[in-house]
Amino acid sequence: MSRAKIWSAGAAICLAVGAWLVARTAVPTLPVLPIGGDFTLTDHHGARFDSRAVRGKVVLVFFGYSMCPDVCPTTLSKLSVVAHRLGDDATKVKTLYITVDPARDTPEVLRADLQSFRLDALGLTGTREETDRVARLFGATYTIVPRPESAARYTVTHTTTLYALDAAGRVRLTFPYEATVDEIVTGVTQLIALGP
Amino acid sequence: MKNARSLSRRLVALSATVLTATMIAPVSHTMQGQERAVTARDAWVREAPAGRAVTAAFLLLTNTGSTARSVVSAACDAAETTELHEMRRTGASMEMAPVPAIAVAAGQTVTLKPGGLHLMLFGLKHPLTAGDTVRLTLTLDDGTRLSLRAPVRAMQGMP
Repeated sequence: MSRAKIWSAGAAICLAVGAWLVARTAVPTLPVLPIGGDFTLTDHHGARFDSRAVRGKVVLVFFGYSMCPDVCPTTLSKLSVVAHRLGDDATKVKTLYITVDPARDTPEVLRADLQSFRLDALGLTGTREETDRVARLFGATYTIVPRPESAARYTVTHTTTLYALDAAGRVRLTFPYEATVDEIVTGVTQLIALGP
Repeated sequence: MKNARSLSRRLVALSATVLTATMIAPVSHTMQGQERAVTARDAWVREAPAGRAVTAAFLLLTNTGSTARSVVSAACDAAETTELHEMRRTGASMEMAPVPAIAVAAGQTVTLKPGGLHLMLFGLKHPLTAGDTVRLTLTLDDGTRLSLRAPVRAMQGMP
């Protein structure tokens, strides 16, 4: 092989590698957010749930409580539409609805909450210490507000952010309560594309 | 002497005001009674499967009159207790709080909708399934009662 041929082959390889590197960095990268982590709780069937059991799936996490007539049904409903839009890819997504009112939200109550939705979701409860720990991991906050004037007795003001985790269990995206179905579908599709 | 005259002038002015007020008041009261200015429509209730003891109702309130009115209480035949509530956004959080009344200004429409004002239904007497209807009764600050039927809607696919 002539020296010229070796040089041109080398140049071609360099170009190819360079092009690959450029293409690779052109894909929008999603930072790993410094929140989240592994936890165990009790699911709406009464079984213990370990967050590591859903590795390999894109996981959507949000906090709520069943006395709330609004945020939680609205979020679950929106995520059902997201699942419908994802089609076959919906099997790669798991939703976790974590209560901030474990005193009232037993597995039975969460089961009733979820049965109205066509969504691969788990309702999660636990002891107050357990749910507090998970809320802290995600940087979510909640406040129990006594309501002596109401049949509710107390309400819970809570963070309504939706957290999206990649297949490795790392938080990569967050969505505000007002996020649209389109925005969530786009984000989830990006996370699915990252692969396991 | 000067003081006494000014006092008597004030008294005359005062009694004139009181007289005018008492003459006008009953008239306007009657007019309000005849107007039936506030109407409620497009009511619906979120479904509540067995095991769910609470749900919410939503509707539109329109005041075509010239006097501000407010809803001061509500009742539903399917619930033990019905309350006026509001969701409020504070930063990244949502807060649900009871409100003493829902004001409907003259000429305005107020929408009770998810994420805002709503009726909270506590102690459901039976599960509510899409297709069912419940009866809502709203009481206004002038004592007027509005009664309307509200269909139950499925949660799936809701906004």
